[in-house]
Amino acid sequence: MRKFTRIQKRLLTTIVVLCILACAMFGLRQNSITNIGYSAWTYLKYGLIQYPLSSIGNAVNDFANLWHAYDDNEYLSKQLAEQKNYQTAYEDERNKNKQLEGLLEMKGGFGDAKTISVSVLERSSDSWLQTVTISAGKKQGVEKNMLVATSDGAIGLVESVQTMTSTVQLLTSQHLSNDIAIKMSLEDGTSVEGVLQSYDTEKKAYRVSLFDNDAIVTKGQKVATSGKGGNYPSGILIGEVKDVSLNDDSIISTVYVSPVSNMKSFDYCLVIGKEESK
Amino acid sequence: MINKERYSFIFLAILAMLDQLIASLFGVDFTYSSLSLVSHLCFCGCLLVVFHERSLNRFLYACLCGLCVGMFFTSDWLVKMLLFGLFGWAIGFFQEAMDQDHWVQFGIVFLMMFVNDLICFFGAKIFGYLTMSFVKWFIHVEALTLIFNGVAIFVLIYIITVFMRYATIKDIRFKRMEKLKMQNIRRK
Repeated sequence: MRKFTRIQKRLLTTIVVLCILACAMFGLRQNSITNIGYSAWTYLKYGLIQYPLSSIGNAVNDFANLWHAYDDNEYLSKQLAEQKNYQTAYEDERNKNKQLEGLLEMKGGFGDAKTISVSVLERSSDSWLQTVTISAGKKQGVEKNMLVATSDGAIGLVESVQTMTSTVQLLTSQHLSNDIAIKMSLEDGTSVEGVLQSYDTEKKAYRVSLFDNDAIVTKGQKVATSGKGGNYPSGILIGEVKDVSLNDDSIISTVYVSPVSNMKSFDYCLVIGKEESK
Repeated sequence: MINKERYSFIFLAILAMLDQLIASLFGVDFTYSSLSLVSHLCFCGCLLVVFHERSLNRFLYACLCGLCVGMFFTSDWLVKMLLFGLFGWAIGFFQEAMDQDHWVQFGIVFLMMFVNDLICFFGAKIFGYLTMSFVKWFIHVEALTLIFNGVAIFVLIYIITVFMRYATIKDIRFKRMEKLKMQNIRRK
């Protein structure tokens, strides 16, 4: 029989010892009383080999995930920046929508009166409270002295008409080319008429002169067009009474009427004329 | 002189740890919905290290390697010991061819690795541990495994070749030194 070399003997011995150890560990695993041996062996194997290697693996995965987190962060930052733009655009659109809804509601209440829906094309910062240019002209049927109103009420008169555009003189301009005939319903059920003459920049209100100085006018009363002496129907809100000025004899000399709330900023308005002749 | 056995043992231990690390990083997807790979660095390294040994030595080295891997890194020491031993002994039949060309070395080790996987797969199927089809297993597990280990075999061949050349150079230098010493002693 061929003799084993020294190295072969060593290898055989090692293999046999390890096999016995492995069988012993396997046998111990079956016996619940001697779990200590199995647990110690498992702890060694786990602690020395598996745990360090899986820790390295987890560290590499975490590092790789950092790049994903960085990419996500970049994307979300961009989205956030765009979000602010979207919010501004949304607010703008919402305001326009609100104005248009108000105008639509108002339009329905005029019956046969001529109404032309327009948008504001230009409003110079130099003459912000004086004039605006609107997107309708002769072609759309706009005529001079037609009343222009927003969803809150009247804001001006058509001053000049071009083919496709028109210039509107706002009621807040210092010199109105035409007076506006107004009507005020009183608490006792009667009404009093007057004329809107000009705009008082100090009081920030329209100056209205009444035809009946004995009328009892209180703050908050609504002032509307009377439909007389102009190319517009009656009943269009001008504003609310803000103050009443009395002369020495306690007779009303001037009534101050505050303009409609959205006079300073509006994108859409309605040009209102008298009923179309049939 | 370099103790080749010691360095071989350390080399195979490192390969086994790398296998474990790769298994932790790229674990097998047992739902078989995505591609997975299984690293066989230790197996291939063992074959490349032992193929030039004598028959019984090859078998014993390979058995010991498989036993250690099975005990310390996986929990199937008996299967690993038998498979490693079987292939370690079988590679000896191609010793002459492997000595001539690296491509032959690559081809034989690659083939043995694949056959090893096939034995494991069909063994598991026969004993009922696995129910998936061969095609599905090949596409989801084996394909990437072959590609990865194929590249790894080239790297291992290079490393072992460099080490063997280094060991040979060291041996030659050592022998030269010994010869000079003997000559000096004779002169005295």
